[in-house]
Amino acid sequence: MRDLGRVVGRINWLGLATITLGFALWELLLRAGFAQYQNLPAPSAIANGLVEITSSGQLFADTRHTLLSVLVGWTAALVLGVVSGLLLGASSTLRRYSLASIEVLRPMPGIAFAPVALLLFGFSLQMELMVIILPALWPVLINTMGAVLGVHARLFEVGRTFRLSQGEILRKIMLPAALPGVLVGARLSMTLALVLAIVAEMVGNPAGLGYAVVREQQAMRPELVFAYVVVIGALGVILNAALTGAVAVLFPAASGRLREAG
Amino acid sequence: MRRILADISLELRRGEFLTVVGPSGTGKTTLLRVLGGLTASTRGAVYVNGRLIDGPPADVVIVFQDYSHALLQWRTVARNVAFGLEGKLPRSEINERVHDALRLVRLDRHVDDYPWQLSGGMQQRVQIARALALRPAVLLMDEPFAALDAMTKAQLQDELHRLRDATGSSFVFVTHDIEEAVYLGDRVAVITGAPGRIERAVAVELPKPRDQVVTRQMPKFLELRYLLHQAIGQSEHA
Repeated sequence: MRDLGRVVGRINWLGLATITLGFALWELLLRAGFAQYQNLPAPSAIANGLVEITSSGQLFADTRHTLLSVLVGWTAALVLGVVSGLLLGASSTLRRYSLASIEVLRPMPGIAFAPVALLLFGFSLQMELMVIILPALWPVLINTMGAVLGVHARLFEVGRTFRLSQGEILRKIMLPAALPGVLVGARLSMTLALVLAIVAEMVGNPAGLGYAVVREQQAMRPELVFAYVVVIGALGVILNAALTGAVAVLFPAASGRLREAG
Repeated sequence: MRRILADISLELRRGEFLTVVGPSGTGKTTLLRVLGGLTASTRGAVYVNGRLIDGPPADVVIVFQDYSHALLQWRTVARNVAFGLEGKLPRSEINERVHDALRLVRLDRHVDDYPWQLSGGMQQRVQIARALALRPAVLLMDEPFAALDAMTKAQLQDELHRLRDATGSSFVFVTHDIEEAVYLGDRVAVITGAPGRIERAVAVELPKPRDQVVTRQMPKFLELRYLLHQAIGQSEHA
């Protein structure tokens, strides 16, 4: 009961009221005939569309595909990014050799690789994953490397004065000290992975929520297009909340420090 | 290459509280780092209990000035204090030592707090407890109270004397504060010049336990303070 009270207390009622008011205004403008767009559905029509795709099971199948590719792509980006970020952070030689390449590759809009991915893998999940992983890698890599480089030199001296081995210094000092930075990268990367999955499904792999938007647009069902857009938005919010929640449970200290730091 | 220190000859006795005082830039911190094995000296040698050191020695531990960087912010107070003992002792003994060390610095009610939840003075006490938990022969302290306010500083100075009496460890305490050096030290070494040299070491014959008000008004205290000011060359009369 107290938990419920806390959840209710944390809800931003005024923020919700603004959103509700926006929808009401939208509905009102359309019904009153002020806005005359043939293919702009009213919120009520979108809601009906949501019911339609939910009851037909189409929404479930589409969401499952997108969620799968986001999670697989994001996990791969996370593993690759953390490992290479740690190595780059630890070795100045490695940085000297590869930082120039990274600085060239990183600002490239990853989605520009979509046609290449399409040529390489065709209309497939692999194509989608390539489009996700390449750009989603950078936030993790850069933040991890930055976090390792940002570990205060004093901490390593503390490790030495307590006579820790190199392995212990890595495990007990470097990794935990870099963790908040890694988590920031992981979160940025998660948001990016969802965007990229949707785009890859729109232009390449014909599956999932991204393809569904295009499909319904071509079927001239704007209310379903909007319904899918709403679902994609909700998925983003849920993924972010799930990650934040998991961090709070798994790494209470890091999450406390992140909150403390704003 | 620039020489930081020259002609340093120091002997630290068991249980002694040696303070090292001098203006900034004279190599006080470097001296401490050499004693703690963090910096290798280009010439000369450091012995602990007759053994030449090569890297941080087992019975010697450093307490740094910047507690916020020196504490592991992701660990609770208790786990910070356990840091130097993990894997070296059985868990039950670690718990016991952590408990003892935290009681010595009067933080036994904050075991589960994180460092960032504590005041500066409390954080520095955590760092001192972390060093004490090792039961070291020597504690090397690098201006540990420099960042603290005057009241906290006075309180921790007295606490440090109490800790020395309770543990029998030796202390080397580096400071640029002459009064602090006299108040705390059994002996004060004055370090001046560049490269820094220890020109003289003065025994402090003040009665114990020392008292923030009474001790600081004793003629002997004032006399030593004057003497050290002159030795450092910062006195108004110099």
